[in-house]
Amino acid sequence: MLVGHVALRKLARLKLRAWLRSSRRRLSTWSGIVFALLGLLVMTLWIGSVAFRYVFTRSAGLSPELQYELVRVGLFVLTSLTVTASLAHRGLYLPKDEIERLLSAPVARADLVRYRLLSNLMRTFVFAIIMAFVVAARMPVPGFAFVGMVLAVMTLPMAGQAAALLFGDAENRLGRFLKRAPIGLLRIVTGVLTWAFFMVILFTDEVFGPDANLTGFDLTRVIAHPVVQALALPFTPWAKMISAESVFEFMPWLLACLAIWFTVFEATARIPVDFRELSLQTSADVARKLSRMRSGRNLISGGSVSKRALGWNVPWLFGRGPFGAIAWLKLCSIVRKSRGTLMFSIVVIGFITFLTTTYIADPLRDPLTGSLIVAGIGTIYLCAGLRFDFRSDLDLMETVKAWPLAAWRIFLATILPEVVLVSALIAAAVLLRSAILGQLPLVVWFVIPCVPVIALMWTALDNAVFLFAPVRFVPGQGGAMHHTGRALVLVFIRTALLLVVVGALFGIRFGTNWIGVYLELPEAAKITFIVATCGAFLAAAAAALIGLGGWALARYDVARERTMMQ
Amino acid sequence: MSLTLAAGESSAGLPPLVVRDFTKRYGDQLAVDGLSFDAHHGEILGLVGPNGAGKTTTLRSIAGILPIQEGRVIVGGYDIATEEAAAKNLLAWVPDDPQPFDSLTVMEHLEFTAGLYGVSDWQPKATSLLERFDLMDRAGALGGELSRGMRQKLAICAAWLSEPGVVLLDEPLSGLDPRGIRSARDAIRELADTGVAVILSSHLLELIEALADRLLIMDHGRRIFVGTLAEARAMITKDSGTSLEEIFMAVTGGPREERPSAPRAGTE
Repeated sequence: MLVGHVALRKLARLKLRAWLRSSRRRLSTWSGIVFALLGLLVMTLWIGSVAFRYVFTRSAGLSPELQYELVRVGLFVLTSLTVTASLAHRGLYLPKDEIERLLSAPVARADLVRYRLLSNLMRTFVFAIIMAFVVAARMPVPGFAFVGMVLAVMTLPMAGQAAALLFGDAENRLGRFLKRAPIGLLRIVTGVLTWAFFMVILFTDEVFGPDANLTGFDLTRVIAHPVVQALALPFTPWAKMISAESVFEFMPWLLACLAIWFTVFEATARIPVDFRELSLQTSADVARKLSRMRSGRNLISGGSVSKRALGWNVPWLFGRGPFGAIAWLKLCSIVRKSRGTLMFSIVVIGFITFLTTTYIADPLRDPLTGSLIVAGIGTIYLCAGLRFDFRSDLDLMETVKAWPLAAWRIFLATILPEVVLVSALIAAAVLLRSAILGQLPLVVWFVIPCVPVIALMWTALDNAVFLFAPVRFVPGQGGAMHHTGRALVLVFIRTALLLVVVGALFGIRFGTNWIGVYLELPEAAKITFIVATCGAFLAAAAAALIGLGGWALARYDVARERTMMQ
Repeated sequence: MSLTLAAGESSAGLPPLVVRDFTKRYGDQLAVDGLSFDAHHGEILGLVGPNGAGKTTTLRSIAGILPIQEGRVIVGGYDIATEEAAAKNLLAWVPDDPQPFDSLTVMEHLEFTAGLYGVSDWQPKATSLLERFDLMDRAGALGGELSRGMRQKLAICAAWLSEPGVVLLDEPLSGLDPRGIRSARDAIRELADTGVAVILSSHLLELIEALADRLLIMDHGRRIFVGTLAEARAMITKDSGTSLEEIFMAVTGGPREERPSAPRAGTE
């Protein structure tokens, strides 16, 4: 029954012990303790702000009927999301290091499912607690709502697993037809629904309250729609339990939901399907995805090579020497793997350009301000999103370290193509904006040359900090608090360095202005002096950051970082 | 070997690879302990030792992948710690599990290597290497599409193309098919015959026995023996017919206290 096979129970216990051991090891150093405390602080602030926002800003409140309906619809959305997400992992997912051993072990398949369900439930527990905090503060009796929400969320993994098993079995039987099923579209739709649900939870007053006037239509009518009501109907027991106002109302539903939980657990474990082939495939897929995430590639820049782009001749833009070869390698990666990233980036930059050109108030249509907004937001967004640099190359660091070039030159050659791409996109956007407005003032020609320097500085800073501490957190990995704290420290370092540069730039700007006034320079000479001095400072800062990046690359220890990654 | 390279001492006339008192630690764990050896022009130096002996750490440190903590590594007269780029330009490194770039084709990998090491007129050499290692029909395949053996062959081709003075091979035959093994063996010998110093690390003792001119046996991060096979036989087993496997077992197989006390004597 629920407890499963004795060996699998032992495995689960050993894994839990290993997790505790590694957590203890993380806390064995001062830096580990500080990172963990910072991570705990961030999580507490985040959950606290989400959970208690309603308590502190409570105005008229919602009617009990509306709260109940919202919980039902919300549970439907959460379940839909869980089920559609599970469809991507058909069969029974078992980690790469377990699957061969467990599938070949003398263990009943139902026990494997039980083992996996219990593992999933342990992982879901933290999410359940967070969701319970979010929901409980808004319910008539927070204690009942908390317990009810935890139980409701802890039922989700079973629904997901059952869907994965049944869908996998159907795919085995119906083959080609189901492979073409629009799972991607289904996931997008449920993703949007979930997002909408969270927004509704967070801004219930604004949307449903007496003064609601955000959307122009009454969302309560959507919830009351017969189709929505029918979809939400199966979630009635959990909604009743969560929105209960007295213990007599709460207890029967709690017992009913517990009974459902046990029944669904056992029913899922006993689904008579052979999931072995699909599980092997799923395990390999997940291992590949995790490896990609661990090596630093995001979902877009970690994509596959476009066969059409493979036929394109990528020019050696930076010469045929060692420096040019490294830059060419990166350029090939951009040209061949970036179609999704580029398209998305172009859409985002186009949207920002469109906003600053058309819809934003008049002062922002001023050529300098609008251009600066496009350049500023564009640089930050593109440099963060386009990861064709060290951030996507962690698994190749052994090769990179063997290249016969000074570290700072390897660093510069690696980030340069990305900087050129970012600069070209932003320059195009700024020029496009000027063309739409029908004016191309001189000041725009000052903004465009600044973009490559700023993009170079930003990318160099990002990569240097990353090389100094390549933090990667992937789902299923231990030490979430530790990683969060560490990431926070790195953000502080990055921001501090940036503030130093910006502060110094402002200082230089005012200093040179004062000198110009003191020397009674003509206006044109004074402006030239200021621009030249600021430009020289920016160039020097960029050079310093490249030096910093080179140093970070030189000190990057392949053996040490590899240990950290695992 | 009496040569001790002090800081600032001239390195002219040295062998292509000189390693002196090299020590590497991972935290508290000592991976390599005061290792010293040379590799000479046209020589294949077989590096053998049990798992965890420090072979790969040694090779990766020589290749400049891991930082040198203690000791010196001099490649073609350049200190890898202070003249890194110049030293690396003379080195070729073939890891045990090469990871090619997934956005480059096989031929482009060689184009990239030629650019990186400044090899002129690379195309005929690249074509010849690809033909030799049966990769010509995969010249347009992406790095990510190659099997383990093909990745190994590509890494060997890239190493050969870079015209190195010292080649470091870590288990170069793993994953290769029989034809690939034959090609690689012949190519390693031919490369050494052109004057290149080859360090060949492998657990295939028959390969080492067949190819290596000298042996470097490591255990627990220390040098157990360096010299020719004949010297090893004379020193360790006193039997001219002893195989490398028996020598290996003799020096690394038994409990530590039964090992030869300090068999560091060799040709150096």
